[in-house]
Amino acid sequence: MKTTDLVNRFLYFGLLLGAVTLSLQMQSRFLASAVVFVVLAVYAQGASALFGLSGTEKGMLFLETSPFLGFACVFFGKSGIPSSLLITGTCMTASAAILMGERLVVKGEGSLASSFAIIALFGLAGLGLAMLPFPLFLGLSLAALVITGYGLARRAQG
Amino acid sequence: MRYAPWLLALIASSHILASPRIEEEAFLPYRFNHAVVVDDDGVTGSVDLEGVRWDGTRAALFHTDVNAKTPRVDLLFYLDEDFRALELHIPGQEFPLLVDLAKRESESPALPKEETALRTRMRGLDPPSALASDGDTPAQFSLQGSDLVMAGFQASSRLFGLPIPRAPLVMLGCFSLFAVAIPILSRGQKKWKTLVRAIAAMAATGLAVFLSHPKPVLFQVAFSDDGPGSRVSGILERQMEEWPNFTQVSYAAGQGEQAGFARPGKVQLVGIWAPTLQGVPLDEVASTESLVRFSSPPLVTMIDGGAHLRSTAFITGWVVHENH
Repeated sequence: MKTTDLVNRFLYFGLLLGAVTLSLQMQSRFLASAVVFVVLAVYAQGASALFGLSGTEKGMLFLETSPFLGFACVFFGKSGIPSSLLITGTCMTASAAILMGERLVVKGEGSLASSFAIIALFGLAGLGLAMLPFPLFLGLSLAALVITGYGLARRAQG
Repeated sequence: MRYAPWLLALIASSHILASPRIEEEAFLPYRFNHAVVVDDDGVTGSVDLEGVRWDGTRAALFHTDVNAKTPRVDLLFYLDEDFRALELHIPGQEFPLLVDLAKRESESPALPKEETALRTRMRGLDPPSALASDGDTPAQFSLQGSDLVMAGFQASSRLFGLPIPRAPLVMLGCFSLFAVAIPILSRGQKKWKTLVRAIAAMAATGLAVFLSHPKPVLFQVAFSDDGPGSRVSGILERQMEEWPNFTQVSYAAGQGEQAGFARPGKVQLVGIWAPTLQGVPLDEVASTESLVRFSSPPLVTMIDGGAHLRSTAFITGWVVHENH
């Protein structure tokens, strides 16, 4: 691993930890899970574009962001532990579906336009999480994950 | 055809008799009131009671989930003089059941002298601003010999501090170090490295959710009040108790007196931070005989047959225990 990659990762997690430290001092402890999800997804998308990550490495960066998403969903939400786990899991499913869709459609590392399109999709997913009934959003996320997963598997088979 | 009006009247009256209604003794401000929803057809699902204030704003007062169909549902809720009406929402009912508190009060005979005096006393007990600082609370606090309301303001500004959960920060810090270090340290195959990273991330997510879950906090400051106009002084000592579902921080005059123990005539300043579903048990805050006045009304929820207080924001309140 190159030194720059190490510094990048250090900065990436350092900023997230800084945000957590600030959050712990906050007087008002309510923020919708959808907002948290979109903010973290945009942060991870921006960072992966900046670091030149794609494919599995990009997916791993998103997955490594999920503990922070879990923290924020619980800390700023009003749900109990099972509901928070379900919300976090659903957000992860939606993220995975979007990233797999990106891999299916965009070739290589992608362009600035594709990066903005992905950010728009995350925004749309956040809107869905906020506005749609939760079971419907979960169902749609799972369906999107299955469809994109099937598409990638078919492509891998050639 | 000539029986049609009678038939219609019969159908209408049977509908009225079968429709849900609220049975209660009296709705009294500055208390936790009890009422019963009676529905011969049975009630099932979410039962919600809302209070409508004089300015038209609303506040959720009670919520319960009725799993099995039952003809009677008990309601328990806080009321104060800010409310002019109640609205009860029952599944299957197109419109909420309305209770016009203002109309009932105006139609009822004049209040007994004792009740008027109690209400005047509670009106004078302004709850301090519901602003909790973050951080640890002091172990001792010296009262300045001021009146009860001023002492309440002093106590709330110094003693109501929400604990800062440090465990999630430590855990996320450890995970971040691991996430930064694992690509350098491990020399195994890329597939295994990825698998280890994925498992670690998912385990850390579960742990983060578990550790970050806020525990409700109940603050209680006991004052030995001798009635209106008396001055309170002395040193308050802190006691902390960790219950499975909430943290209790009590302040009482030193030398062994327990703040949680309610003796007749005891006045308590309470602070409640309970944004989660569990809430704080009502029994720990007040009894149904206590006089209470909150900065904003808590939501009473029934969990396993017990009443719990919840509030999305931090709230403060005065509790005057029974026989005062």
